[in-house]
Amino acid sequence: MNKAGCTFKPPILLILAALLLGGCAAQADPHRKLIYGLTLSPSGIDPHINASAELGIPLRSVYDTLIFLDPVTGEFVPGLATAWSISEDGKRYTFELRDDVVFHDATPFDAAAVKANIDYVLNADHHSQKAAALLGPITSVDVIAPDVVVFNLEEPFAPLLDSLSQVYLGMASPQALERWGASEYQFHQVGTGPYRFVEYIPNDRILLERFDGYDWATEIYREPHAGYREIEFRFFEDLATRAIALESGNVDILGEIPPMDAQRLSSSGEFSMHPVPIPGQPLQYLFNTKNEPTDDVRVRTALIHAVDRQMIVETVFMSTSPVALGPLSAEGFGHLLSTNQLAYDLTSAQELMREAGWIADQEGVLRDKDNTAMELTIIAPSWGSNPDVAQLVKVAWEALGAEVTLQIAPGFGPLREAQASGNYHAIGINFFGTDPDILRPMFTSTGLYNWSGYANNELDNSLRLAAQSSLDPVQRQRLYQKSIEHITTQALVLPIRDYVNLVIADNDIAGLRYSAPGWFPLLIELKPTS
Amino acid sequence: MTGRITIIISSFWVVAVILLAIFGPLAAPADPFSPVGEPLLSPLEHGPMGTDALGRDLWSRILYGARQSLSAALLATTLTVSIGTTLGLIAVLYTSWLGGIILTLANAALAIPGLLLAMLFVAAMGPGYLTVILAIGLGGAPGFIRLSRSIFAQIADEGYVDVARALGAGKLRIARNHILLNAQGPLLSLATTHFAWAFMGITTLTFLGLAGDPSIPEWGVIMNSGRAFLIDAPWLAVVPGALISLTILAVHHLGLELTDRFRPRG
Repeated sequence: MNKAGCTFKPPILLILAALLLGGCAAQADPHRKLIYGLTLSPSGIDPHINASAELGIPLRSVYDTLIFLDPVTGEFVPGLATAWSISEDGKRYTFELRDDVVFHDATPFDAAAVKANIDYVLNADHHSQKAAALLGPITSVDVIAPDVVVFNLEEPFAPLLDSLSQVYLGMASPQALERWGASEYQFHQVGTGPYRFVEYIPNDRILLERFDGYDWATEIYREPHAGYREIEFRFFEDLATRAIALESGNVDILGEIPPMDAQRLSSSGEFSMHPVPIPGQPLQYLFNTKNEPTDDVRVRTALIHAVDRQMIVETVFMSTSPVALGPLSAEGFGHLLSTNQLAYDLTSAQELMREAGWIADQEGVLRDKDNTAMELTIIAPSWGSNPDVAQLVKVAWEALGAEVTLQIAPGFGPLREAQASGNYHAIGINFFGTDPDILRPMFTSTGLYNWSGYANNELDNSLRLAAQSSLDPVQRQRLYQKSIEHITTQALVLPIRDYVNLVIADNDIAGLRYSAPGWFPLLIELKPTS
Repeated sequence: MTGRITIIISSFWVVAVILLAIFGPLAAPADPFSPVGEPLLSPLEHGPMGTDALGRDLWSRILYGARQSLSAALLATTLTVSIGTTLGLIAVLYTSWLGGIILTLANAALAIPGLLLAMLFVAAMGPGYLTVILAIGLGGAPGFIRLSRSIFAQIADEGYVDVARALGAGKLRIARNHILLNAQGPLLSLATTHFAWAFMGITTLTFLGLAGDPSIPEWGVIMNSGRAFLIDAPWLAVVPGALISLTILAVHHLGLELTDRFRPRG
């Protein structure tokens, strides 16, 4: 937004400026275009197929979901489904649907559309990276009536309602899915949300336009109609350029701003800072239980005790994030925190190392009975603050007496490759989500992301049973508490900080609020202050 | 006259950087890996250069960095010179098919700029400090083969080499006693100019994050980590950046001066 150019006072200049500087005139227009910055350019943006959190930032407002998760109460509320019920065995979900909804391409929304969406996601040829997994053990979808649809499951699956509230299972026009197919649909998306998808140019922009026929806003939206006519999303991948992009007016709202820049910008008076807590797993390191010496729980516990997490959070995040207290964030999972807090305690760390047979020599290097020095390898992802945190963890473990190699994996592909090699003792990986079932792929023996290599029947069972306890929330919570105690007692993970997304927005924008999963703004509520 | 002054300043700078590389770490006030205070302290708050984003003493990291960057460039240059001289010499001695193959391959590799070649190598091998050194060492080799070959070829055409050949001297003997001995000066100037390129190459790749470990105190790595704070703490990137530029310039000027000195006269 071109602020500096709008201060001309003499009348003639003013008229000229009004004629010439279209940008300034647009600023006073409440219907002007809003520019929202994305911090990553996803490899694809079909939410049914791709897994990036970034795609949800624009697309959460292109799609409605069957149900919504209220970010204030944490309750599920009606969306495209007005009511739902779960059979006693937990294997049959019945949804009653709205009958007054049409897609942006004028196709009516009905039970057949729901079935077409689920079939599209489950089609093995489409290689869905996230949405298919969110559906769990679903076997089929039955159309009972135009406004009644039934989901059949092979076994009970408690996270299903949470899954159906996510953008990855947003309802798309069956006609558009049919017409464009999995390869082209991402460029021609059609939903029922408050914004209409206009275009996507990879690595350049995504453009949305207000859908004026939107008449079925869910109750979590505080505004029934969108404030901005157009919203353009641009990519600002380089951390160093984000603050400059805001200051130069190239973007109005931008997340993942480094703490120092965020503080400077918010104190300038032109911008406001919105710290958005992200529920899910914290920034964390999984210990490899298959390699020596981290196969020993005493060594793992000692390595956790050796890290001053408070200091790391103060240094890297300037205390804008809370210290993580376990394998799930306090945001959204406060009731599931472990009682077993492994605080920074160098003496206990040294004691445990001695017990495990690692004695410090005269130079402070930990050596086992064969006089072999302790060697550890950390693999950390390159995004966000991971490299900074990893350097401080390395220093902490070196101070304890280990020889530490740090390897930064430039991207998710290289991270997976490095993991597959097995040559590591700690690896940085975490997933976000609003259901505690995100623990299952990481801590069950056959889990897709069991990068700690840990296998334990008891933990497998409690995580599996918890996922199946659809109708008994108390039992479910008890099972998760038990699992979390197990994970912390076994010291499988070194949690560092709970994620907080530092979003900076121009003060000309009002109503910025985020959905329950944290990353996704409720674009319908945004409006110009003037 | 200005040339003379440039050479004097360049020499001083190079000697200073070498001294820094040898004795710097002994003089460093702190461990370059561990935090010593709050992050991003200015040079006024924590002398002489303040602290970086993780609270580490920047001056200590710069001192250690001199050794790290200089030795890496030296290793890479040694690799390039070894490969380049050997293959260049073979190409002159065996002008038939073997020399032809070597020259064709070197020319083909020269179609890709050395730095890009090095990046391709790192992309294939995965990031790592040793990989970066190897990449720069190998990336500079094709150019060095061609240049050293032309030096050797010039000497091989000299009358005394013809005489030696007429007297029945073998290829190895000619190579050792005549060609290499007389090529020492020009090779040294070539290696010096190449060192400037290798130094730039190493710091470029580490600046791009290809060293793998961002805690390594190396000038390119330090500059990269300071890049995010250009507004709040510009010295974090400016100091290593200036050191890298000045060192490259100084070595390059010395290389040019050496080239002048060893240029064949007559």
